[in-house]
Amino acid sequence: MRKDLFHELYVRYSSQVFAYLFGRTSSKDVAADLLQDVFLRIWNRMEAVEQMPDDQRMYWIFSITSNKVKDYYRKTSNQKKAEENIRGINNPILGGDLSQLLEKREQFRDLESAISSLPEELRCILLMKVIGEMNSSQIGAALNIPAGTIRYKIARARQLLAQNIGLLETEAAGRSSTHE
Amino acid sequence: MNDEFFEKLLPVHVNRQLDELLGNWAEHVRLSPVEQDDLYNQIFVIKDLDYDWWHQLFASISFKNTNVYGNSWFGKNAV
Repeated sequence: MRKDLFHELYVRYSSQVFAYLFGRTSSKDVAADLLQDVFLRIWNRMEAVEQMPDDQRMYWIFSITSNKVKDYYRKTSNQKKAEENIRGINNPILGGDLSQLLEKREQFRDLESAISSLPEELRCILLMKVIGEMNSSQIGAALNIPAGTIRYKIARARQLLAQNIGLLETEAAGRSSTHE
Repeated sequence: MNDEFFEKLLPVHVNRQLDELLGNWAEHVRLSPVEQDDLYNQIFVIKDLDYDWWHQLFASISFKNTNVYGNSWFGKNAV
C-alpha cells in the first residue's frame, strides 16, 4: 500500500522535480542524484505523506527539493569556488555536465548557452514548463508563487531566450528587408 | 492575463521556432524511462540499508574481545 502510493508519487512528480533540479543546478547528473535523494527522503516520510491531503503533497515535495538544492549548494560551494578559480570562469552556471552536453550536441549549443545565461529563477521556471511539462498553475502551486506571476516569468524567459539565440534579430532583419 | 496574452509578446513564428527548439532539447535532456526506472529501483536498494539493516548487521557481529592472533601465537612468542 505504502509502496503503491510512493510509486504513484514517483510517476507523477519525478519528471517535474527533475526539471526543477536541472533548472537549479544546470547539470543532468547532479539533478538525477538529487532526485534520488529527494525521493529517498519522501520514502522515509511516507507515514506523514499518507496523512497529508493530496493537494498539499506537491508543495511539500518541492519544499524538500528546494532544501536538497540548498544543502547541495552549501556542500559544493567551496569546491565550486576552487574550480572556478582554476578555470577562470565568471559564470558559475556554465561548467560540469552542461559543458559536456554542449560538446555532445552541437545543435543545442546556442540554446543551452542561452538557457544557462538566464537568471536562475527564470531558468528554473522555464525548465519546469519545458522539461517537466508543468502548466503555470502547477508551477505556481509547487513554488508558492501566483500562476499569473509564473506566466509573466515564462514569457520573460522566452523573450530573453529568443533574443539571446538571435531569433528576434532574424525577425528584425526580415522586417527591414521587406521595407527596403 | 492568460497564456495567449504572453505568447503574443513574441511574433507567432518566433514562438513556433522556440517551441520546436525547446521541445527537441527537452527530449534530449529529459530522463529516459530506463534512467527513471533505474533511479527508482536504486532508491529501494538504498532504503534497505536503513536502521533495521544496520541493526541486523551489528546484531550478527560479536563485539566481545577476540584474540586476533590466536592462542598458539601467544604461546610460542610469549616472553
